[in-house]
Amino acid sequence: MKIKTILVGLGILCTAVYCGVKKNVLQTPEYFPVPHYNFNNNPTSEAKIKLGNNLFYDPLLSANNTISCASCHSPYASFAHTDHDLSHGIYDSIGTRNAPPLFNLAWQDRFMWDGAIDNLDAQALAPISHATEMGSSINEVVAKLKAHPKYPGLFKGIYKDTLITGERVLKVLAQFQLSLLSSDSKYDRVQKGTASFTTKEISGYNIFTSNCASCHAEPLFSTFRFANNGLEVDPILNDIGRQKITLNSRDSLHFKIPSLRNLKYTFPYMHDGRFNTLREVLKHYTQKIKNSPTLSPELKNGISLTKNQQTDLIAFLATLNDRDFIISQKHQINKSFFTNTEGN
Amino acid sequence: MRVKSTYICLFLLLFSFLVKAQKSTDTISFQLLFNKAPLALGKQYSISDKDSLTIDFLKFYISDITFYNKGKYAGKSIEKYHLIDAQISNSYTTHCTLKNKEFDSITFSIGLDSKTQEKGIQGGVLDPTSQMYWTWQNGFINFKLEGKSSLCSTRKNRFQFHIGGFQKPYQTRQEVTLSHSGSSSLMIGVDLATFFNAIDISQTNTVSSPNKNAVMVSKVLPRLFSSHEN
Repeated sequence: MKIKTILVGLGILCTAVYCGVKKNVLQTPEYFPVPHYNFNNNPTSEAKIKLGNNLFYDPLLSANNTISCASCHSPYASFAHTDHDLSHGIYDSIGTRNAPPLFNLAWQDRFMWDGAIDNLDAQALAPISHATEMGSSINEVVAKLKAHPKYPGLFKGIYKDTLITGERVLKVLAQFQLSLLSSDSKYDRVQKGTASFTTKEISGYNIFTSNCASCHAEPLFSTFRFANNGLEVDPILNDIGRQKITLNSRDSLHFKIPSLRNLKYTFPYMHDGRFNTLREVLKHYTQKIKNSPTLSPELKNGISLTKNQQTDLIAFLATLNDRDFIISQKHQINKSFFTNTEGN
Repeated sequence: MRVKSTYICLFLLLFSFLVKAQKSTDTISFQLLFNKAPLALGKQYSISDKDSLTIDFLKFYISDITFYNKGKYAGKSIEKYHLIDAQISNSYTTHCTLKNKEFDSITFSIGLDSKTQEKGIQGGVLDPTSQMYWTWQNGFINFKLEGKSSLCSTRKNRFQFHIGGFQKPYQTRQEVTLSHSGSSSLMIGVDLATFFNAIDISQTNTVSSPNKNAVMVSKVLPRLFSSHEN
């Protein structure tokens, strides 16, 4: 009887702690949908996020210890790469696509511009292994971490043993990325009732809902599906997008629809970073849509917006910039971890 | 306190007897072959008067090994997944639990089921350091075979088969059913020569994504397996 009570009590306690931990990190606003990420496979904890942060900023992940995740995903650029149209990796290699920003990843079910990867835990394998990004392998990373003066202890603090595996490295990295939550823009404060839009922003919001929202749906500002938005194909990159993955011609020139949050920090825009300003982006949508069999039906006739409407739309888009997210200390590099590394 | 622990010991003892009475543990071994002789990595095998090949790398998943006796379930492997690595002879054997020693057929899959595939990054033999998880797209490689042959007009005459894919229309997991007579433990032969008899590597020598060729190659794989009595 006594044992039973203790067991039941323990069960309730564990569940409570577990749920508590689950909610702890992703304190998401109530107007956000249910996350896609399956936290049961990788329960969150502050310790994992901290360790994931160290890994994210550690160039040890690359073949010659020069490139970290943050090299192309800088916190100041909302974890994108300001001024770089195409990703810039190891040995000054240039990739074929623009490094996308990282935030609100728990709501996304496919990653990379072509959706090649449908699992956030697995995503980091791609840049770690790619010859023009980090040029390493998960086996090499695990070996380096095992030999490191600090990492084995940090893994032990989480997993109760010093064993470092590929699974643990990737899941811990995912933990940090899941913690990159952007939900404190002016738009969010309006949703929470602590701020209100200006007349211009309201006008922009209305233009947004009738012209952009079918692909860039609130509150994440993307459906995270794939679409052909009518860009002229770059003759050198000749990138067919999602078709490369699905081998289905209906997916030709389809790319992942990006979120419109934090645009102030994430230029240049589009999968190949071809536009530097939002004005150029709007010029594309209003004047330069290239027709093709896979063009998004919403864009068949282009989008018609006057100069003033464009100005209002840009004013609304500016309410999606989340400055607190950009300057948040907890997302930045943990300098003491790197300056006090013994044996370096 | 002392009485309690005695009870516990007694219970454990009884329990272990019960388990022992119902089930027995057996091993199942895979024997990697080339033309019925044990496969040697890096060895040059002639496949015609002028052409030869060497196998440098071979790894594949076997999952859900299940035994049947007269059509009825008779046992299964202890581990759901098993990774056979030609470089590690320990990996050729796996343990199974059989209700009794009797079974007349065995089924298993070459590769992993879609539920496992969809779960993504996992540990043990599924850990990405096993080099069986694709890096540029999601999913596990079910069967990985690499080597060289004079028949391949590729760089360094390499052939590379990374056979995987679990989503329609390119599903590559294959089921194998082998019959077995007698009650001794089982040895399963995996003859790579069958692979090269079935696949013309002068034409198809590089398959490394889920596509039609991957499905075509995967359909050949069950033919590599045959059962022998130990």
